[in-house]
Amino acid sequence: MNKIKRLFVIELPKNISSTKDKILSFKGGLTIFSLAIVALLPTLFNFFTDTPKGLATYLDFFLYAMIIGIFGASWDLLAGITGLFSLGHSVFFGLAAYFLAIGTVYWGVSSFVMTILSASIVVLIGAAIGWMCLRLKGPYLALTLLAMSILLFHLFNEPSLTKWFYGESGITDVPRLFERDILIGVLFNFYSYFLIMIVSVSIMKIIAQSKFGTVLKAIRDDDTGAQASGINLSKYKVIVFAISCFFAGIAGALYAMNWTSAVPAYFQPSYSFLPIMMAAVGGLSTITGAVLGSFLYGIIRIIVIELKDVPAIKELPIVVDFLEIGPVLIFAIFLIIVIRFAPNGILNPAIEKLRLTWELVKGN
Amino acid sequence: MSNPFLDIIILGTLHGTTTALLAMGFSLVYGVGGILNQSHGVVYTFMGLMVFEILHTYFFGIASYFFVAVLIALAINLVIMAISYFGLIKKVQDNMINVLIITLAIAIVLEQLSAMLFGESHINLVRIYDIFTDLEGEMHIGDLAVNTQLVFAFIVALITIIITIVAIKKLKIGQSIRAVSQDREAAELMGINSNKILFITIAISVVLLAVAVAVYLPNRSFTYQYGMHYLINAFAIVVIGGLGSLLGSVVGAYILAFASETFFQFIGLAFVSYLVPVVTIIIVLLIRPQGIFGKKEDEGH
Repeated sequence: MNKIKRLFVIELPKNISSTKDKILSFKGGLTIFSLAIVALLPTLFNFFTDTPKGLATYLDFFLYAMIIGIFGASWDLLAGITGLFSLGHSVFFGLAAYFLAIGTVYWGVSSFVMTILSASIVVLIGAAIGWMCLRLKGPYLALTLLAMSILLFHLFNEPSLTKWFYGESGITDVPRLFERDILIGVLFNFYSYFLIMIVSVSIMKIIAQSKFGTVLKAIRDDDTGAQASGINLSKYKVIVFAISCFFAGIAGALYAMNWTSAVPAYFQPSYSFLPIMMAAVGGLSTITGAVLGSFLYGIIRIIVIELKDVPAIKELPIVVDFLEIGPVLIFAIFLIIVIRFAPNGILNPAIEKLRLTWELVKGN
Repeated sequence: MSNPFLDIIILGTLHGTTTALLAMGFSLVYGVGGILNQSHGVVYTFMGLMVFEILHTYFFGIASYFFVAVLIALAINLVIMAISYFGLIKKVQDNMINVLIITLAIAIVLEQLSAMLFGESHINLVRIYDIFTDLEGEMHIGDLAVNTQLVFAFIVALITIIITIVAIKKLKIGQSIRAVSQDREAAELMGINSNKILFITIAISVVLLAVAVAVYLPNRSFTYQYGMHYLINAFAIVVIGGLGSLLGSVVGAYILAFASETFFQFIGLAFVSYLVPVVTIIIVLLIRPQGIFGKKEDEGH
């Protein structure tokens, strides 16, 4: 146990000035700047609507982006950093959503406690699945997990098993983190999700950069070599499975809370593909790339929804049809283009471009 | 009172032979290029929806034009696969994760396109007895009433499977395919263009899918969402038989079909037959990951 503990020791900054340096560095400044923009989103969208409900509908797109961002980062930790490609991450997402719904609706446990609790239960399940799948590599692992997600989807969707798995309509009326009837509730909802996202993604980023993360990358790049140098592959794979499942579980619980239901559709393959698309667009093994990808997706969704209300477009049925299912299609095409021309995602090249522009502006 | 075991054997044989069509191409492409084609199932439903649309828009739903529609859909899909292979897959072929992501993205694009173009309603394709009006909907084998379409599908599938296996054994192109699947670098040194061979393999898998669309898909109503289900089916078959082995995928198809029929006969719940492939994948992969005919894997593929 001590050994594992030592792995997670993070090299804390030696003194305050180095933290200050980090913030003042280009990357740190950019991070703070983007976070500030996200934090100001409620103010921005307040200009578009008058009611708290209207504001909440706009902010829902960003809450979606945050949740899928956590989900994508958790997938990236497993696939990008460790090389365990999972096509069935919706298993953990959906299970956590159901646990949260059961806990809050039927047992009356508070939402905060239940979020952590359901993520922790999913950790156990994830570790068990990870242990079972230790022998599988590459595509075999991917499709086994996909099969598991389809299995769960059919179990939860089966009308004759409603007694155990809540049937097709799932569990509805899951309480929100904060009720959204008043402005304060909407804002609390937004900022608590925002905070959870920052904390979760930072933890994952730190894990990826710690000694533990280095070992994971070694496993990804050359598992025989890693084993030869005395790394216990099974232990690391199970641990990373558990960590990834914890955050996938957090994402699932948050999702169920914000959309007030847990339904069988959460197990569908499309929910497994979402994190993959986000992480691949942002850049594999960057962790934060998934968040960038999911915010891009959120923006595409907002544009599509807004375009649908434009009167000139409403008269063209083909365009309306396209917009109905547009976001996923647009994003998938975007993903193909990204993988084709920038196989390492857009996050790092974008930062590099911005840095060059910034230095040009500064005049160095 | 019919004998349940006889029913299982008859229905299992019929279904097994036809589902082998779905799995053979999938297995072949993996064996030759190491590409686990995630878009396999979606191409299947995409082609089916396209056939329906072509038949009803351009041939006014006249059943005898059915096979013409299948040919047109096949041609269009071959072009799509050619573009996606030479434009996308070939460039990232060496990186397993990028191949998985890009075939997945192609699958999502095709799935969303078919949702957009053909809508979400359940579709039934033309059956063989709609084309030849003197045929009846059901045939009797012993005491068991069997769908005529299924018997027709069985015959066509059997012929197709035999032709494919013989062609890969005997023809020069088949020998090249086997050479590339055994050792790509050595085959390239012998003057075989492995990229061309891989594309031909993908084309063969699409043709096999088109045959399946023509004969097997009319048995059931489907929507654009069924693609992933068919992918899992094909994967289950291939996992049982061993990825990359043609004979393995035929045997796997029989095993899976017999298992599904047995469960269906004795348990009777419709959704159990959905679960059989999924549970089979999990069990086989955990016990014998390389399948029955597969080679033991050391590094990668």
